[in-house]
Amino acid sequence: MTRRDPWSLVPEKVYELDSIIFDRLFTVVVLFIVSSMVVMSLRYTWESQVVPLLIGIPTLLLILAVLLLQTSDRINVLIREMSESDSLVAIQDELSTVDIEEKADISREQARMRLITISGWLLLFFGLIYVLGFDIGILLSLILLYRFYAKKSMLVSLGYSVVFWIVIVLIFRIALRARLFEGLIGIRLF
Amino acid sequence: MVGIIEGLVIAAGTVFAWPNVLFLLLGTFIGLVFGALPGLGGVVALALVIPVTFGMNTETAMVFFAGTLGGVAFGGSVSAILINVPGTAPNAATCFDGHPMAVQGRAKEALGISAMASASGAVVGLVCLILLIPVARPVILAFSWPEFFWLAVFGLTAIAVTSQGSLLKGLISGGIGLLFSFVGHSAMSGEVRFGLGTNYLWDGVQLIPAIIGLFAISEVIKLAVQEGTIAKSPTDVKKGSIWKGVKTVIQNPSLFVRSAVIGMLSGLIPGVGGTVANFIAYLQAVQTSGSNESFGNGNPKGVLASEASNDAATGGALLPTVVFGIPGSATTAVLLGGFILHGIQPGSELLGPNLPVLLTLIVALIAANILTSLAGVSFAGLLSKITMIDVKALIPVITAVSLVGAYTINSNFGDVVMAMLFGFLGYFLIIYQYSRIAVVIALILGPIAEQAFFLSLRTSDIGLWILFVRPISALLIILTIASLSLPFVRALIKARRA
Repeated sequence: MTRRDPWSLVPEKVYELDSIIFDRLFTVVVLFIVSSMVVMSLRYTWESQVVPLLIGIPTLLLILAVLLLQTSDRINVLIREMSESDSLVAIQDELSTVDIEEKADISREQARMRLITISGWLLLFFGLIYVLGFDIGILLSLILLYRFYAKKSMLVSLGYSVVFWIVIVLIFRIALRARLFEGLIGIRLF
Repeated sequence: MVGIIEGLVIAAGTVFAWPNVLFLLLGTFIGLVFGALPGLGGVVALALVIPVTFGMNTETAMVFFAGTLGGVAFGGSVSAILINVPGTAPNAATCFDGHPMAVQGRAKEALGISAMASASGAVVGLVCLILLIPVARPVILAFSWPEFFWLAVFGLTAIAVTSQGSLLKGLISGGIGLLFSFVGHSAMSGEVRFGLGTNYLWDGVQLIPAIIGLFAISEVIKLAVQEGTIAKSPTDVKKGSIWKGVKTVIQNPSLFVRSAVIGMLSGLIPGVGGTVANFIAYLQAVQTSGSNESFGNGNPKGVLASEASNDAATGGALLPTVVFGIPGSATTAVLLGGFILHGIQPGSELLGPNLPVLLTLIVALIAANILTSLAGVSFAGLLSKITMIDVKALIPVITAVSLVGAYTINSNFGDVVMAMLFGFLGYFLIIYQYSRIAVVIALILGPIAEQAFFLSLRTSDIGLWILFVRPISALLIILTIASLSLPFVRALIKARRA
């Protein structure tokens, strides 16, 4: 029997190395989180540890199974050779990555760039709120996002930002009388 | 019963008298807005309204409370359908099929279903409340810790259903959600678990910031990667109609009644309420439907089940509140504060001399729900246009409202950090085919299951058997087994027929 590519059951898009690596990397991160929680559980009293262990250990085994299927060529070959069984193909299909880009019909490169861009904007948004507080941070973030991310004109960006900012202030500050976070420098507009 | 009917007629007169009707409208509007904004919901809306009613007469205050409560659930479904962000936790299951419908350009249809199912579900729940008032005590007292445990386990079986595309990863997601739900003080031993040395985690993973992160922030990232508009094609939004959605509810009476009854019964049980009801109702819709593969891909029945149940739960949750003074949900706990502010004591007083006040609240709730749904039907066309806006224009405002909403719940910046972390986690869960829904179900039900498990054992003379010997527990076990085995049985029957 000819040995065939273990990934031949997987949709073509998974051939790209980065996707395979990131998929496995995510599984490893999840594995790390769950195994850490299981190890931590061992230190607790019986009442505190029993349910986390009852949940954590089977979850850990399931993640290991996923990782094993993702990394072991031998298992993939085995599945491939036994591919007459629909259920095994289903397992393999289940493990394949389905990206947003597949639905949106955009290239992997574009998707990656957009992901990095929005992550940067979100972190900037978060950072501005953390440093300047909600009052100023949100207004500034909205202006920057509309002007440079959504690429609206300066006038439109200012208009949208001020309107949404007023709505947020009206609901949270005036109606709810919420004392919003004032940031590291402690700015409060009114 | 005749006395109750007479009381209802008088209450209707009170609700529609001036200026009560104005407060009904105002409350409904506040409820709609707060329901639609992620992180706010009924608790915050009522907390805002209660101090305003100080100085009002009791009936007017009840009408104002009811208006606010009535608007919340439908408001929550609007954001769940249009932008895949549940406005409140009980709308989480509405996202499963509501948002895929919006993506397919059927937002108006989904909103029509939600409006009709919400109003009718609330009416069913409240009518049941009226009917159950005389026999409420034994029904509520029949539920104890073993029943709570099995109810939570039954709810957890929804994980298997909602992760049909990838059962293995769905189960892992459920496991992760359960482990996260155990973070913080153990209800049984008082020990802090998985606290990582921070005070913030002592109270555990806060549900609302986690939901905001998993749905709103991860949706922001997803939309940014996809770009364009939420609806796939500009012409798509014209497809589907509000009336088609309304008709869907009328054409599925048995599904509607089952979902509403599930909602009402779940609402009855303190601590369960609409948050669990919508998952259980969704689960039964999938299990009893002939075409369960289409669930999660825009099946109207999914929206129907979720919305009918979470609105019916309001009526159920009111029952323990008014009979025992035990709030059936967080919202009714705040409502209880409103009762006390107006000098109304739950229990025999509310069911006796103050019965007209209770009936005013019930009639106002029915009116508010109908009003909300009429508003929903009227504005569905306008609302559905949100799905046609460039996502780059939506992203800044969704992010801003989500982060402020996450902060406002506890005025703790840690909640904003939590929402951000869950946002990125949610995005990776989406792209690697894990289930965000399973994480949320587990986060909600994990603590209930654990606490009920230990309290069952502590109150038991027969050890673990306590979980199996009580009649309602046995019924719930049968339902759980049936729920898990039904897909296999169905597949077997299909295979034999083929």
